[in-house]
Amino acid sequence: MSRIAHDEQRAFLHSLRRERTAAFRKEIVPYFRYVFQSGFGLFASAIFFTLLIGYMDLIKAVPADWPAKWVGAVVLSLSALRAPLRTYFRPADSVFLLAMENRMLEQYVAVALRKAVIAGVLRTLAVFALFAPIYIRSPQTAALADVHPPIVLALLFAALTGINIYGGWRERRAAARSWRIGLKAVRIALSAAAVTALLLKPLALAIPFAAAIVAVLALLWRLPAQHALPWDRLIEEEAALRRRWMGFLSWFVDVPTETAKPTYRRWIAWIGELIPWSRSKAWHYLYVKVFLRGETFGALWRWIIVTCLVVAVSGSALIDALVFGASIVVCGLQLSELKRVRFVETADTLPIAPQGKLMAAAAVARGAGLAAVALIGAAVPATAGLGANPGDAEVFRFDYWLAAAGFGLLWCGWWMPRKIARFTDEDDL
Amino acid sequence: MVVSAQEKTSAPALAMKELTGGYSRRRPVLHGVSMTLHGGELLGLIGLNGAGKSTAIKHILGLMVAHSGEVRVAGATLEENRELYRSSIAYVPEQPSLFPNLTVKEHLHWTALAYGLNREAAEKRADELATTFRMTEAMKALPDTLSKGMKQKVMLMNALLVRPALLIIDEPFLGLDPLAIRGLVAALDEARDEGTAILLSSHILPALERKANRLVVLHKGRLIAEGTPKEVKAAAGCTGTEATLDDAFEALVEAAEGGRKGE
Repeated sequence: MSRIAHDEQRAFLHSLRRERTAAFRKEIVPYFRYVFQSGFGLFASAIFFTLLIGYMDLIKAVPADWPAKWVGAVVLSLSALRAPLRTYFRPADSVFLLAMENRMLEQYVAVALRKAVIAGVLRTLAVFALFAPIYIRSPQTAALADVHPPIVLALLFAALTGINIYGGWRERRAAARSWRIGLKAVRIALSAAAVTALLLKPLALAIPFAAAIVAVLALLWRLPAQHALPWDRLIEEEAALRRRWMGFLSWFVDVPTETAKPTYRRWIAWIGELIPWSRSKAWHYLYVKVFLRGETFGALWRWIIVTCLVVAVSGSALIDALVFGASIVVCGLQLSELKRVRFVETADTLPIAPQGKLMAAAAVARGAGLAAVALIGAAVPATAGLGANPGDAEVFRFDYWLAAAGFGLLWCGWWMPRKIARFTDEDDL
Repeated sequence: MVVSAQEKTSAPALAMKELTGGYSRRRPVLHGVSMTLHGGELLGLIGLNGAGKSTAIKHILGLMVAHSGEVRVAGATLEENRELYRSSIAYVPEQPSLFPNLTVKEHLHWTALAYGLNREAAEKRADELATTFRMTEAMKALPDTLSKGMKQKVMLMNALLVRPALLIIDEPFLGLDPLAIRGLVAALDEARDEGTAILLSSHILPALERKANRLVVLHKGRLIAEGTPKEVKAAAGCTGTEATLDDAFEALVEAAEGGRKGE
């Protein structure tokens, strides 16, 4: 290929990435107006300022029993381990750009990787900047901080973050799924060990330990059969990321629907078989399966688990009740996604009334919402006292619990299903 | 209520009368097309790409509204008796159109629910179809793990599960392996013997020549020939023993093109 053709390809790939990045932002950003109008901005701001006040109080005087060592290890590990990669790949790329694979690696993916490393390093530095005052002032870690110069730790964590992002790229290149999962699990375990060692052990020991871990990872990355450029994997990841964005935005405003790749979920999908064998329940059967194998259920059950964990460690009856109520609001919003489920065209040719769709969606949402109320409602009394300090009086208040549960029953059992079942326009059918 | 092939009705399974239709009223795709299909018959729908075959099928399915003329399925128009109309048809589109969140078995389960089939009979029939199409091991798979041919088999299994009065199949042989084609042909023969009327749109003319009772040839939205394969060949002037339906179709299209140019 001539030099001019090379230059043209390079310019094309640079501009392609820039255009796609800009197009994504242009598509997403306008929706944020609606997100903020919905009150979410206020809610997020309230949480941010609450956390900020709590943080300021904490760094003024870190309690002796505050687990600074482990909080630091967990938070910094979580930041250093993340290895996202935005490529903005599209399904047709593996057809139309395949011939330029080498150029794609040099001019497109390398740029994406560089940007991911820069973003990751900045993220970890920000997290470390927040943790450093605690590290220095906490009675548990003050002595360690004296022999761990913050600037050295910052550089080491930044390097570890960069290596993890590169590791994430190598994992994506592995041809076999089992290798991808295995490599990721090993990287997470070893990198967390390295972060913990750097933070809590003498640097003279921790640095060689971390270097040995990096060497082991580098060796492991060479083992599996690899794609030069994992087209399908990157296309899938982009589609999933896009769906997550749209899924989040769709809580607040109508956005173009994305077809999510379903998850099998054998452990829960069997519930659909409990639907009575009746023609009037055909839509119910379809909605149950679509819901249980879809992203809405994935988001819902993760949210319920997080809520239960927060409730378990809060140690306060009032916080439990507030978290219970707020979490149920979010569950309801997530379940309202069922109204937006669209089916393949052949569904319209079957002999069941399309008007039954909304009723079935509402019934499924009601069932799932009430299950969420029951689970979180059970977690509140079951975990009362777990996160409390000695001497804390009110670890469980029945009246608070009853108010939150009553609100949950109304929200998920009546208001939200009613909203789903309401016919607004032809698009609902 | 499902109107199955076994239920005797005096009305034809499909009666399309002078149908003019398409997305735009100003530029209709179909121009006064008529066709009739009785129980136990296989009607082959032939035409070049863009001839109006898929549009005709969409009108029959009630996914498009006719500009003029009417379509009756089991004696009723969609407006007269939506329930009877819909439950009389099973449809297999050219491109497999499956629910991504349902396994193969769950697709059959849902179709059986939607058509109000008896549970035991539907499950027995589903097992038979799985064997016929060699899909027994794929019954618990989600569509995204299936090949295009396997997806097409799922569509066919769903349609054949119902034993409808009218079975509409668009390009059934695309993507199927040789054994699946053989299984499909046998299943279509069986369905026809049971009284199902089959409308089959395909470009594989030798297969239609062997299997179809009658043919309808569309060209640019107009019906240019109709009858048994022998009658269609005769209409095209292909009367020799060596003449094939491919030859006849080519002659008909050329004649129609010539006629159009001469208009």
